[in-house]
Amino acid sequence: MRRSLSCLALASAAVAVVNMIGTAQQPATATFGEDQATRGRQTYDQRCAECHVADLKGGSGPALVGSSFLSGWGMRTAQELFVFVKGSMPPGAEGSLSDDVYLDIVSYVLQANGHAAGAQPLRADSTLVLGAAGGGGVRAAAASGQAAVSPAAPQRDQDVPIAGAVGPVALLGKQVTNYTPVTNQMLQNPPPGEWLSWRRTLDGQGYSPLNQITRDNVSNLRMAWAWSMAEGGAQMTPLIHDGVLFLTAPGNVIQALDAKTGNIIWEYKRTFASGSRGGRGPTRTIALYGDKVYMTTSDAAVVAIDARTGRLVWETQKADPSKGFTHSGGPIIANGVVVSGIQGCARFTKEGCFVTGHDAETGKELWRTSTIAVPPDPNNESWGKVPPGVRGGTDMWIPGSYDPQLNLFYIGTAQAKPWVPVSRGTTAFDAVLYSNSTLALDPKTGKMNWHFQHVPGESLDLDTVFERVLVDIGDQKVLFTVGKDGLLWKLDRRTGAFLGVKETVYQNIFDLVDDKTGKLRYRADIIEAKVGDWIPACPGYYGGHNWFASAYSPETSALVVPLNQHCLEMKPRKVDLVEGAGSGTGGDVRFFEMPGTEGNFGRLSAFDVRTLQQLWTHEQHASFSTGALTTAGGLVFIGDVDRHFKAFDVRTGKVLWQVRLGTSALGFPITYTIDGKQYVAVPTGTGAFPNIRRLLSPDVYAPIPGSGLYVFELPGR
Amino acid sequence: MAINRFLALTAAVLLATNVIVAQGGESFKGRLTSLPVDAVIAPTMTGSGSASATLQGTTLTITGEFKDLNSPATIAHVHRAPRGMRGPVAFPLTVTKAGAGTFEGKLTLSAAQIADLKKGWYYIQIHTEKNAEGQLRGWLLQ
Repeated sequence: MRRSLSCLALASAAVAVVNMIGTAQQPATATFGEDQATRGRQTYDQRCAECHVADLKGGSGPALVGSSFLSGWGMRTAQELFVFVKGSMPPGAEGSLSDDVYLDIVSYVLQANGHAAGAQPLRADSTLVLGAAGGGGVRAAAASGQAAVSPAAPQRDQDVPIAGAVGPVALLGKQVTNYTPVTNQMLQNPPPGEWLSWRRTLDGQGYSPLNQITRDNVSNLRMAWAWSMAEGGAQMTPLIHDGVLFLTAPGNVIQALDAKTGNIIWEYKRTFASGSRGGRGPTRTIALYGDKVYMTTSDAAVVAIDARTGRLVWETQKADPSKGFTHSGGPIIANGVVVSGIQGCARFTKEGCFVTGHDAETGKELWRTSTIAVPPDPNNESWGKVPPGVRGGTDMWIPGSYDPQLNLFYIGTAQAKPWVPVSRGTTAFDAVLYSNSTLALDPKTGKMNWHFQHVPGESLDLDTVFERVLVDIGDQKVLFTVGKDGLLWKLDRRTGAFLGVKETVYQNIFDLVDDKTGKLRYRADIIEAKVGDWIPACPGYYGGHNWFASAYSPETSALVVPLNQHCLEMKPRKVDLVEGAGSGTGGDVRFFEMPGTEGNFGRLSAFDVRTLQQLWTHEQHASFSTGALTTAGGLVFIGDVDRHFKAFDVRTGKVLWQVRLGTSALGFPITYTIDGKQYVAVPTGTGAFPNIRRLLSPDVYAPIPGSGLYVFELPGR
Repeated sequence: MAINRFLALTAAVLLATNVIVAQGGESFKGRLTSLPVDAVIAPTMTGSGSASATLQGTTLTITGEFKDLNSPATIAHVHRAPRGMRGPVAFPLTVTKAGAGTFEGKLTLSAAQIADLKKGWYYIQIHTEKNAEGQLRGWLLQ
């Protein structure tokens, strides 16, 4: 049935082409205007290149030119592309641009795919077939006027204006006074009222020992102050030290606020090189060490900012952002070294993908460890027939954890790219190391002490890349992580030995999950997937689990895990195996509700860390969209896409308090004290689960503006 | 009095027997939602529905309703596949040929089919004029 409809489309496209050749006048709907393509290119460079990259060949977003794009879209029309782009882009602000702007973008994509501009402008009902120009894939030949971005000395523009950017903060001339330099000791054992690193402590637990806010008084929480940020979704974590709240806002902005009053002290805004993207995407955490604040940027650099003044102290370029390299996770200070993984490794480049350690004082790169196994590493064999240089993926987009006693830094890697083996030239039996693995590195040297691969040869964009939570159970030193597939893993963090695995949501991807060995077996049709087959997968690639980090509750020995429930069908695309090609996805996707969940896309579950038994679970219609925060007051704080921020009883999963925010909660809630009084803070922003909301639960509406921070307190004192 | 106690006991036994006889069936429920969609397809794949089914012995009685289809229903079936997968037709159902209505079926199941039903391997699918390959489906689950 599907095949005959495609033939019909091809036939009508052929007729349209013949008509264009045969008649003097072009049909009104079968062309686009040069001015549209020119404007479209400008808009693309500002709004789209961040993910799809300047040459349209894709990065974290799919390619929009070439065989990778046309194998999925070649038979479809400009009208369908217009509907699709308007309905799904930009992420977090779908449909927010005018129709004319979307038509400009589609015109530019048509031009980039070899179509010529014509007399008539592109309209929303255009029947122009995307592949009818005979392919292409060459960026429009108009003079670019852009300086090449080189890691050595990028040219600097004036600040690229970002909507909602803060005004002239520098004129306030303020700085932080009485700032105590942050030491390794402090990072390992922070003052109870401070939040010094991503998950408060380097073990990744996301737990606070504060207990002024309890089960009994949490229902009295009220707003203390709120703070608005630029539009977008930073997915950020506020950090607290010496009465200062440090946060990131969209556009690689860092702001220092008075944590008690919310008054601004200073602001730093990254200046992006000419032609480079502005970076409205996430910056999930920054790092504090010494007297500096560290950030990894969306244009593939590491920067150090003076914590007192907000001035740039040093910056080091890690890689060339024009090849797709970027960051969204953030650094961790491990044994005094600024350790971070890079992202945007979808392209086939000689740099591949890697973790780095930088000197905290000078910014010098101390070491670089490849996460794609290449010669002389014997694990190079795990890539089968695909030679080094045309291997993509193993991105790291979530910060790692650190054990100072073992002196090991732990981080998760994502899948190899393109997603599906047949697209990347490997088989489902090629493990493709070190994708979907936990890596244990010495932070001083970068040497890989051990690795554990959770999902060899992963096929469906289901990363096991998220937080690594370190817990001591008696004498045992363990590490927990949950992948997008919903599998909860327990490893010995000294050796990487497998200790246990548990399914947290319904999954039909693996028909064998061996809880004695950790071995997985894909469903047969996934192993045999060919370009053009639709493959069902539960859960889909939003997870399962996702970046919304789990938290540990020592009082109940429970790991509290935010989860999501939905399914999809994916169709692999053909991807050319040449250097510079490759793109993040290589697959078309359709979404559906997970059977048996009654429309409950959000789920929060607690698991006993000793037995992996589920202690309680709470399901709800709206997806959870923040990390979990556990406290000694017996509470779990978490927010959702339906603008709620909630407190649960950590023993039972019962909701004890909730409040309604301006838009979706988004990021990592924290708790801290100032002058002996406890506060709880949650960020908001847009962009979480766009397809689940729009396609499967449009009743869950999140306003597009509203990125910000809300701080709550108990009344009195 | 002894006779009253005897009558009370008899009444209790009769009541209990009636309850047991009425309880012979196992119940299943289904929530019908759209087949997989993307931003282009979603407006053409609208609607929702629900189903309930009772298994008495080897007879499965299915009833259900649907609404908000963007084109009239044409046929409905029970298909066999694990949750989230697509599978072949197993049984026919009757369905209102309109944008909203009901569906039903009374099926005789073999032992193997009963086992499949209890594993959650049956789903109801409604096909429509605009979506001949299927528009809504929902698994029958306990």
